[in-house]
Amino acid sequence: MTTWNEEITDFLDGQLSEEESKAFVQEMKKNPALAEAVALQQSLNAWLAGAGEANQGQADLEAQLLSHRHYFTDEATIASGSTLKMPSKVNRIKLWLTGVGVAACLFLVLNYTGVFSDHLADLPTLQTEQVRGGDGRQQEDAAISAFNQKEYAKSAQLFEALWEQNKEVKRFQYYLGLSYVGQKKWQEAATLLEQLAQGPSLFKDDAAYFAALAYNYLGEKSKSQNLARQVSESSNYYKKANKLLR
Amino acid sequence: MHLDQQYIDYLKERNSRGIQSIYEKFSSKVKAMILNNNGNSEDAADIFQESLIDIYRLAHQKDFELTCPFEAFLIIVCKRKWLNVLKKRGRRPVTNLDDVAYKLSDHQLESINRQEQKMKEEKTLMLLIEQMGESCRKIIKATMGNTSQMEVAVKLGLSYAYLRKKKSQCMEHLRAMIKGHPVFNLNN
Repeated sequence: MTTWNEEITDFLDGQLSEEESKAFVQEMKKNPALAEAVALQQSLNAWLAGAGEANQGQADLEAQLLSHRHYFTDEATIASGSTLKMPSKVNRIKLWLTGVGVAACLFLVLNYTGVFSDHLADLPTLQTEQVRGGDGRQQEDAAISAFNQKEYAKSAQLFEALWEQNKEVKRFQYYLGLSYVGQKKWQEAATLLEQLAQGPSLFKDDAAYFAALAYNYLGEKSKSQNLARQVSESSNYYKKANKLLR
Repeated sequence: MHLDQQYIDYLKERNSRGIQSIYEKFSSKVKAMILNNNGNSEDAADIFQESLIDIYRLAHQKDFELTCPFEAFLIIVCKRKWLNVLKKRGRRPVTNLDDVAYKLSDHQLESINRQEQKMKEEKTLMLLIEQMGESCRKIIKATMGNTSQMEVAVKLGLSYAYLRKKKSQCMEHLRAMIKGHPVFNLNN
Protein backbone atom coordinates (compact mmCIF):
# COMPACT_ATOMS: atom_id res chain seq x y z
CA MET A 1 0.00 0.00 0.00
CA THR A 2 1.39 3.38 -0.97
CA THR A 3 1.49 6.14 1.64
CA TRP A 4 1.51 8.80 -1.10
CA ASN A 5 4.14 10.45 1.00
CA GLU A 6 6.50 11.66 -1.70
CA GLU A 7 3.60 12.61 -3.95
CA ILE A 8 2.12 14.86 -1.23
CA THR A 9 5.34 16.85 -0.97
CA ASP A 10 5.83 16.91 -4.73
CA PHE A 11 2.23 18.00 -5.32
CA LEU A 12 2.42 20.86 -2.82
CA ASP A 13 5.87 21.94 -3.98
CA GLY A 14 4.64 22.05 -7.58
CA GLN A 15 6.93 19.25 -8.68
CA LEU A 16 4.30 17.07 -10.40
CA SER A 17 3.52 17.37 -14.09
CA GLU A 18 0.08 18.62 -15.07
CA GLU A 19 -1.06 15.09 -15.77
CA GLU A 20 0.31 13.75 -12.49
CA SER A 21 -1.33 16.63 -10.60
CA LYS A 22 -4.73 15.87 -12.14
CA ALA A 23 -4.39 12.20 -11.23
CA PHE A 24 -3.36 13.15 -7.71
CA VAL A 25 -6.37 15.46 -7.28
CA GLN A 26 -8.63 12.66 -8.48
CA GLU A 27 -7.05 10.32 -5.94
CA MET A 28 -7.63 12.88 -3.17
CA LYS A 29 -11.33 12.97 -4.02
CA LYS A 30 -11.54 9.21 -3.54
CA ASN A 31 -9.25 9.03 -0.54
CA PRO A 32 -10.24 11.25 2.43
CA ALA A 33 -7.16 10.23 4.46
CA LEU A 34 -4.94 11.45 1.64
CA ALA A 35 -6.92 14.70 1.34
CA GLU A 36 -6.54 15.21 5.10
CA ALA A 37 -2.78 14.61 4.94
CA VAL A 38 -2.44 17.08 2.06
CA ALA A 39 -4.43 19.73 3.94
CA LEU A 40 -2.30 19.26 7.04
CA GLN A 41 0.95 19.49 5.13
CA GLN A 42 -0.34 22.58 3.33
CA SER A 43 -0.97 24.25 6.70
CA LEU A 44 2.46 23.15 7.87
CA ASN A 45 4.10 24.59 4.78
CA ALA A 46 2.36 27.93 5.38
CA TRP A 47 3.43 27.91 9.03
CA LEU A 48 7.01 27.07 8.16
CA ALA A 49 7.20 29.75 5.47
CA GLY A 50 5.98 32.39 7.94
CA ALA A 51 8.30 31.16 10.66
CA GLY A 52 11.23 31.10 8.23
CA GLU A 53 10.56 34.72 7.27
CA ALA A 54 10.22 35.73 10.92
CA ASN A 55 13.46 33.97 11.85
CA GLN A 56 15.41 36.09 9.42
CA GLY A 57 14.72 39.34 11.25
CA GLN A 58 14.19 38.15 14.81
CA ALA A 59 17.75 38.69 16.05
CA ASP A 60 17.66 42.27 14.80
CA LEU A 61 14.27 42.87 16.42
CA GLU A 62 15.46 41.40 19.74
CA ALA A 63 18.47 43.72 19.71
CA GLN A 64 16.20 46.71 19.12
CA LEU A 65 13.82 45.69 21.88
CA LEU A 66 16.70 45.26 24.31
CA SER A 67 17.83 48.80 23.61
CA HIS A 68 14.42 50.05 24.82
CA ARG A 69 14.49 48.16 28.10
CA HIS A 70 15.25 51.37 29.96
CA TYR A 71 11.58 52.33 29.56
CA PHE A 72 10.96 49.79 32.33
CA THR A 73 14.07 49.90 34.46
CA ASP A 74 15.15 53.57 34.68
CA GLU A 75 12.01 54.84 36.30
CA ALA A 76 12.00 52.04 38.86
CA THR A 77 15.47 53.03 40.05
CA ILE A 78 14.40 56.64 40.52
CA ALA A 79 11.10 55.73 42.10
CA SER A 80 12.61 53.37 44.66
CA GLY A 81 15.42 55.75 45.68
CA SER A 82 15.17 57.91 48.82
CA THR A 83 16.85 61.29 49.13
CA LEU A 84 20.47 60.66 48.30
CA LYS A 85 23.34 62.34 50.14
CA MET A 86 26.77 62.55 48.58
CA PRO A 87 29.36 60.90 50.88
CA SER A 88 32.54 62.75 51.83
CA LYS A 89 35.69 62.22 49.74
CA VAL A 90 37.29 59.83 52.31
CA ASN A 91 34.07 57.91 52.63
CA ARG A 92 33.74 57.77 48.86
CA ILE A 93 37.21 56.16 48.63
CA LYS A 94 36.32 53.74 51.43
CA LEU A 95 33.07 52.89 49.71
CA TRP A 96 34.86 52.43 46.41
CA LEU A 97 37.50 50.15 47.95
CA THR A 98 34.82 48.14 49.74
CA GLY A 99 32.91 47.84 46.49
CA VAL A 100 35.99 46.69 44.60
CA GLY A 101 36.80 44.17 47.34
CA VAL A 102 33.31 42.76 47.39
CA ALA A 103 33.20 42.60 43.59
CA ALA A 104 36.58 40.83 43.46
CA CYS A 105 35.47 38.26 46.07
CA LEU A 106 32.19 37.73 44.25
CA PHE A 107 34.01 37.33 40.95
CA LEU A 108 36.37 34.74 42.43
CA VAL A 109 33.56 32.77 44.03
CA LEU A 110 31.25 32.94 40.99
CA ASN A 111 34.03 32.27 38.52
CA TYR A 112 35.12 29.25 40.55
CA THR A 113 31.58 27.91 40.55
CA GLY A 114 31.29 28.44 36.81
CA VAL A 115 28.54 31.07 36.86
CA PHE A 116 30.42 33.22 34.33
CA SER A 117 31.07 30.32 32.05
CA ASP A 118 29.35 30.70 28.67
CA HIS A 119 28.82 26.94 28.45
CA LEU A 120 30.75 27.02 25.22
CA ALA A 121 31.56 23.32 25.45
CA ASP A 122 27.99 22.22 26.21
CA LEU A 123 27.14 19.34 23.92
CA PRO A 124 23.75 18.90 22.27
CA THR A 125 21.36 16.11 23.13
CA LEU A 126 21.30 13.80 20.13
CA GLN A 127 17.96 12.66 18.76
CA THR A 128 17.38 9.37 17.05
CA GLU A 129 16.58 9.53 13.34
CA GLN A 130 12.96 8.38 13.42
CA VAL A 131 12.62 8.08 9.68
CA ARG A 132 15.59 5.89 8.93
CA GLY A 133 15.64 2.13 9.01
CA GLY A 134 18.24 -0.55 8.34
CA ASP A 135 20.55 -2.74 10.31
CA GLY A 136 22.69 0.03 11.73
CA ARG A 137 19.74 1.47 13.59
CA GLN A 138 20.21 -0.47 16.82
CA GLN A 139 23.90 0.28 16.90
CA GLU A 140 23.29 3.97 16.27
CA ASP A 141 20.60 4.10 18.93
CA ALA A 142 23.07 2.54 21.39
CA ALA A 143 25.71 5.10 20.42
CA ILE A 144 23.26 8.00 20.78
CA SER A 145 22.10 6.69 24.12
CA ALA A 146 25.72 6.40 25.36
CA PHE A 147 26.42 9.94 24.16
CA ASN A 148 23.35 11.39 25.84
CA GLN A 149 24.35 9.65 29.07
CA LYS A 150 27.76 11.33 28.76
CA GLU A 151 29.54 8.01 28.23
CA TYR A 152 31.68 9.58 25.57
CA ALA A 153 34.37 6.88 25.35
CA LYS A 154 31.66 4.33 24.59
CA SER A 155 29.83 6.56 22.12
CA ALA A 156 33.14 7.35 20.36
CA GLN A 157 33.84 3.66 19.95
CA LEU A 158 30.36 2.97 18.55
CA PHE A 159 30.27 5.98 16.22
CA GLU A 160 33.76 5.18 14.99
CA ALA A 161 32.61 1.67 14.04
CA LEU A 162 29.50 3.05 12.31
CA TRP A 163 31.53 5.62 10.44
CA GLU A 164 34.04 2.98 9.35
CA GLN A 165 31.16 0.95 7.92
CA ASN A 166 29.81 3.88 5.96
CA LYS A 167 32.07 6.87 5.42
CA GLU A 168 29.36 8.60 3.39
CA VAL A 169 27.23 9.22 6.46
CA LYS A 170 28.46 12.58 7.73
CA ARG A 171 26.24 12.28 10.78
CA PHE A 172 28.49 9.54 12.18
CA GLN A 173 31.58 11.66 11.60
CA TYR A 174 29.97 14.62 13.35
CA TYR A 175 28.80 12.57 16.31
CA LEU A 176 32.22 10.95 16.60
CA GLY A 177 33.75 14.44 16.66
CA LEU A 178 31.32 15.47 19.40
CA SER A 179 32.23 12.36 21.38
CA TYR A 180 35.88 13.48 21.22
CA VAL A 181 34.81 16.93 22.47
CA GLY A 182 33.03 15.19 25.34
CA GLN A 183 36.25 13.34 26.17
CA LYS A 184 38.25 16.58 25.83
CA LYS A 185 40.34 14.94 23.12
CA TRP A 186 40.76 18.32 21.49
CA GLN A 187 43.25 17.34 18.78
CA GLU A 188 41.14 14.43 17.50
CA ALA A 189 37.99 16.54 17.66
CA ALA A 190 39.62 19.48 15.85
CA THR A 191 40.97 17.36 12.99
CA LEU A 192 37.80 15.39 12.41
CA LEU A 193 35.37 18.29 12.71
CA GLU A 194 37.47 20.71 10.69
CA GLN A 195 37.43 18.20 7.83
CA LEU A 196 33.64 18.05 8.09
CA ALA A 197 33.36 21.83 8.23
CA GLN A 198 35.32 22.21 4.98
CA GLY A 199 33.02 20.09 2.82
CA PRO A 200 29.32 20.22 2.02
CA SER A 201 27.29 18.70 4.81
CA LEU A 202 24.21 19.21 6.90
CA PHE A 203 26.54 19.51 9.87
CA LYS A 204 28.89 22.08 8.34
CA ASP A 205 28.05 24.95 10.73
CA ASP A 206 27.90 22.82 13.86
CA ALA A 207 31.16 21.09 12.98
CA ALA A 208 32.84 24.46 12.31
CA TYR A 209 31.79 25.68 15.76
CA PHE A 210 33.04 22.63 17.66
CA ALA A 211 36.27 22.52 15.61
CA ALA A 212 36.78 26.21 16.49
CA LEU A 213 36.18 25.39 20.14
CA ALA A 214 38.66 22.49 20.03
CA TYR A 215 41.34 24.70 18.44
CA ASN A 216 40.61 27.33 21.06
CA TYR A 217 41.39 24.78 23.78
CA LEU A 218 44.54 23.77 21.90
CA GLY A 219 45.63 27.43 21.98
CA GLU A 220 45.54 27.75 18.19
CA LYS A 221 43.68 31.04 18.20
CA SER A 222 43.96 31.85 14.51
CA LYS A 223 42.57 28.48 13.35
CA SER A 224 39.87 28.72 15.97
CA GLN A 225 38.76 32.16 14.82
CA ASN A 226 38.80 31.24 11.13
CA LEU A 227 36.46 28.36 11.83
CA ALA A 228 34.27 30.43 14.14
CA ARG A 229 33.81 32.96 11.31
CA GLN A 230 32.50 30.17 9.08
CA VAL A 231 29.49 29.56 11.32
CA SER A 232 26.53 31.08 9.53
CA GLU A 233 24.05 33.43 11.17
CA SER A 234 21.24 30.91 10.90
CA SER A 235 23.14 28.39 13.01
CA ASN A 236 22.22 27.69 16.62
CA TYR A 237 25.92 28.13 17.39
CA TYR A 238 26.32 31.55 15.80
CA LYS A 239 26.27 33.50 19.08
CA LYS A 240 28.67 31.12 20.78
CA ALA A 241 30.99 31.22 17.75
CA ASN A 242 31.11 35.00 18.06
CA LYS A 243 32.31 34.62 21.63
CA LEU A 244 35.31 32.72 20.32
CA LEU A 245 36.19 35.72 18.17
CA ARG A 246 36.73 38.00 21.18
CA MET B 1 -8.02 45.53 8.87
CA HIS B 2 -7.73 47.80 11.91
CA LEU B 3 -6.13 51.25 11.68
CA ASP B 4 -3.57 50.20 14.27
CA GLN B 5 -2.07 47.79 11.76
CA GLN B 6 0.78 50.34 11.54
CA TYR B 7 2.16 49.04 14.86
CA ILE B 8 2.23 45.53 13.46
CA ASP B 9 4.07 46.86 10.43
CA TYR B 10 6.60 48.64 12.67
CA LEU B 11 7.43 45.30 14.24
CA LYS B 12 7.49 43.38 10.96
CA GLU B 13 9.73 45.95 9.34
CA ARG B 14 11.78 46.42 12.51
CA ASN B 15 11.22 50.15 12.19
CA SER B 16 13.25 51.72 15.01
CA ARG B 17 11.16 54.91 15.34
CA GLY B 18 7.98 52.88 15.23
CA ILE B 19 9.26 50.48 17.89
CA GLN B 20 10.20 53.41 20.08
CA SER B 21 6.65 54.74 19.74
CA ILE B 22 5.30 51.35 20.88
CA TYR B 23 7.42 51.61 24.03
CA GLU B 24 6.46 55.25 24.58
CA LYS B 25 2.75 54.61 24.24
CA PHE B 26 2.19 51.22 25.80
CA SER B 27 5.02 50.28 28.17
CA SER B 28 3.68 52.23 31.18
CA LYS B 29 0.36 50.34 31.22
CA VAL B 30 2.04 46.95 31.06
CA LYS B 31 4.47 48.00 33.74
CA ALA B 32 1.69 49.21 36.05
CA MET B 33 -0.25 45.98 35.52
CA ILE B 34 2.73 43.81 36.44
CA LEU B 35 4.03 45.96 39.33
CA ASN B 36 0.55 45.85 40.86
CA ASN B 37 0.46 42.08 40.55
CA ASN B 38 3.46 40.61 42.32
CA GLY B 39 5.99 41.52 39.64
CA ASN B 40 8.91 43.92 39.32
CA SER B 41 10.14 46.14 36.51
CA GLU B 42 12.45 43.41 35.15
CA ASP B 43 9.47 41.07 34.90
CA ALA B 44 7.52 43.78 33.11
CA ALA B 45 10.34 44.42 30.63
CA ASP B 46 10.63 40.67 29.91
CA ILE B 47 6.90 40.19 29.43
CA PHE B 48 6.61 43.24 27.17
CA GLN B 49 9.55 42.11 25.04
CA GLU B 50 8.39 38.49 24.77
CA SER B 51 4.89 39.61 23.80
CA LEU B 52 6.21 41.88 21.06
CA ILE B 53 8.29 39.02 19.68
CA ASP B 54 5.26 36.71 19.74
CA ILE B 55 3.21 39.33 17.89
CA TYR B 56 6.03 39.84 15.39
CA ARG B 57 6.14 36.10 14.66
CA LEU B 58 2.38 35.89 14.42
CA ALA B 59 2.31 38.81 11.99
CA HIS B 60 4.43 36.76 9.58
CA GLN B 61 1.70 34.15 9.29
CA LYS B 62 -0.25 34.52 6.07
CA ASP B 63 -3.73 34.93 7.48
CA PHE B 64 -2.90 37.25 10.39
CA GLU B 65 -5.18 40.25 10.70
CA LEU B 66 -5.44 42.78 13.51
CA THR B 67 -9.12 43.16 14.32
CA CYS B 68 -8.94 45.29 17.47
CA PRO B 69 -6.84 48.21 18.78
CA PHE B 70 -3.17 47.26 19.03
CA GLU B 71 -3.08 48.40 22.66
CA ALA B 72 -5.84 46.01 23.64
CA PHE B 73 -4.20 43.15 21.78
CA LEU B 74 -0.77 43.82 23.31
CA ILE B 75 -2.11 44.23 26.85
CA ILE B 76 -4.16 41.05 26.63
CA VAL B 77 -1.16 39.08 25.32
CA CYS B 78 1.01 40.53 28.14
CA LYS B 79 -1.67 39.83 30.74
CA ARG B 80 -2.09 36.18 29.77
CA LYS B 81 1.65 35.71 29.63
CA TRP B 82 2.02 37.24 33.10
CA LEU B 83 -0.76 35.06 34.51
CA ASN B 84 1.16 32.01 33.26
CA VAL B 85 4.32 33.23 34.98
CA LEU B 86 2.42 33.80 38.23
CA LYS B 87 0.94 30.32 37.98
CA LYS B 88 4.40 28.80 37.51
CA ARG B 89 5.68 30.75 40.51
CA GLY B 90 2.73 29.54 42.54
CA ARG B 91 1.40 33.04 43.09
CA ARG B 92 -1.88 34.74 42.39
CA PRO B 93 -2.59 38.16 40.93
CA VAL B 94 -3.31 40.82 43.56
CA THR B 95 -5.83 42.77 41.52
CA ASN B 96 -8.51 41.46 39.27
CA LEU B 97 -6.74 41.38 35.94
CA ASP B 98 -10.03 41.23 34.10
CA ASP B 99 -10.27 44.96 34.76
CA VAL B 100 -7.31 45.46 32.52
CA ALA B 101 -9.14 44.02 29.56
CA TYR B 102 -10.64 46.50 27.16
CA LYS B 103 -14.22 46.65 26.13
CA LEU B 104 -13.99 44.42 23.11
CA SER B 105 -16.73 42.85 21.10
CA ASP B 106 -17.19 39.10 21.23
CA HIS B 107 -15.89 38.94 17.69
CA GLN B 108 -12.70 40.80 18.67
CA LEU B 109 -12.15 38.62 21.73
CA GLU B 110 -12.70 35.51 19.68
CA SER B 111 -10.19 36.75 17.13
CA ILE B 112 -7.59 37.43 19.88
CA ASN B 113 -8.15 33.93 21.28
CA ARG B 114 -7.62 32.47 17.82
CA GLN B 115 -4.39 34.44 17.38
CA GLU B 116 -3.16 33.31 20.78
CA GLN B 117 -3.89 29.71 19.85
CA LYS B 118 -1.82 30.23 16.70
CA MET B 119 1.06 31.60 18.76
CA LYS B 120 0.94 28.47 20.90
CA GLU B 121 0.82 26.23 17.86
CA GLU B 122 3.75 27.97 16.19
CA LYS B 123 5.87 27.66 19.33
CA THR B 124 4.96 24.00 19.70
CA LEU B 125 5.73 23.34 16.05
CA MET B 126 9.20 24.83 16.48
CA LEU B 127 9.75 22.72 19.60
CA LEU B 128 8.65 19.58 17.75
CA ILE B 129 11.10 20.33 14.95
CA GLU B 130 13.86 20.67 17.55
CA GLN B 131 12.96 17.20 18.82
CA MET B 132 13.40 15.60 15.41
CA GLY B 133 16.58 13.85 14.31
CA GLU B 134 19.48 16.00 13.13
CA SER B 135 18.90 15.41 9.41
CA CYS B 136 15.19 16.21 9.50
CA ARG B 137 15.75 19.24 11.68
CA LYS B 138 18.34 20.64 9.32
CA ILE B 139 16.41 19.87 6.15
CA ILE B 140 13.17 21.36 7.44
CA LYS B 141 14.92 24.47 8.74
CA ALA B 142 16.88 24.92 5.51
CA THR B 143 13.74 24.66 3.38
CA MET B 144 11.75 27.08 5.57
CA GLY B 145 13.09 30.24 3.94
CA ASN B 146 12.78 31.56 0.42
CA THR B 147 15.83 29.69 -0.87
CA SER B 148 15.04 27.30 -3.72
CA GLN B 149 15.29 23.62 -2.91
CA MET B 150 17.96 23.21 -5.55
CA GLU B 151 20.09 25.79 -3.72
CA VAL B 152 19.33 24.14 -0.39
CA ALA B 153 20.50 20.79 -1.79
CA VAL B 154 23.78 22.36 -2.95
CA LYS B 155 24.27 24.14 0.37
CA LEU B 156 23.69 20.95 2.33
CA GLY B 157 25.81 18.84 0.02
CA LEU B 158 22.93 16.55 -0.89
CA SER B 159 21.61 15.47 -4.26
CA TYR B 160 18.33 17.16 -5.19
CA ALA B 161 16.58 13.79 -5.42
CA TYR B 162 17.82 12.77 -1.96
CA LEU B 163 16.77 16.11 -0.46
CA ARG B 164 13.24 15.74 -1.82
CA LYS B 165 12.93 12.12 -0.70
CA LYS B 166 14.25 12.91 2.75
CA LYS B 167 12.11 16.03 3.05
CA SER B 168 8.95 14.07 2.27
CA GLN B 169 9.89 11.50 4.96
CA CYS B 170 10.55 14.27 7.47
CA MET B 171 7.28 16.02 6.67
CA GLU B 172 5.41 12.75 7.10
CA HIS B 173 7.00 12.36 10.50
CA LEU B 174 6.15 15.95 11.43
CA ARG B 175 2.53 15.46 10.34
CA ALA B 176 2.30 12.41 12.58
CA MET B 177 3.75 14.35 15.54
CA ILE B 178 1.26 17.17 15.07
CA LYS B 179 -1.74 14.92 14.61
CA GLY B 180 -1.18 13.37 18.00
CA HIS B 181 -0.36 16.60 19.81
CA PRO B 182 -2.93 18.16 22.16
CA VAL B 183 -1.96 21.77 21.41
CA PHE B 184 -3.03 21.61 17.77
CA ASN B 185 -6.57 22.40 16.88
CA LEU B 186 -6.64 20.93 13.42
CA ASN B 187 -10.22 21.91 12.68
CA ASN B 188 -9.36 25.60 12.32
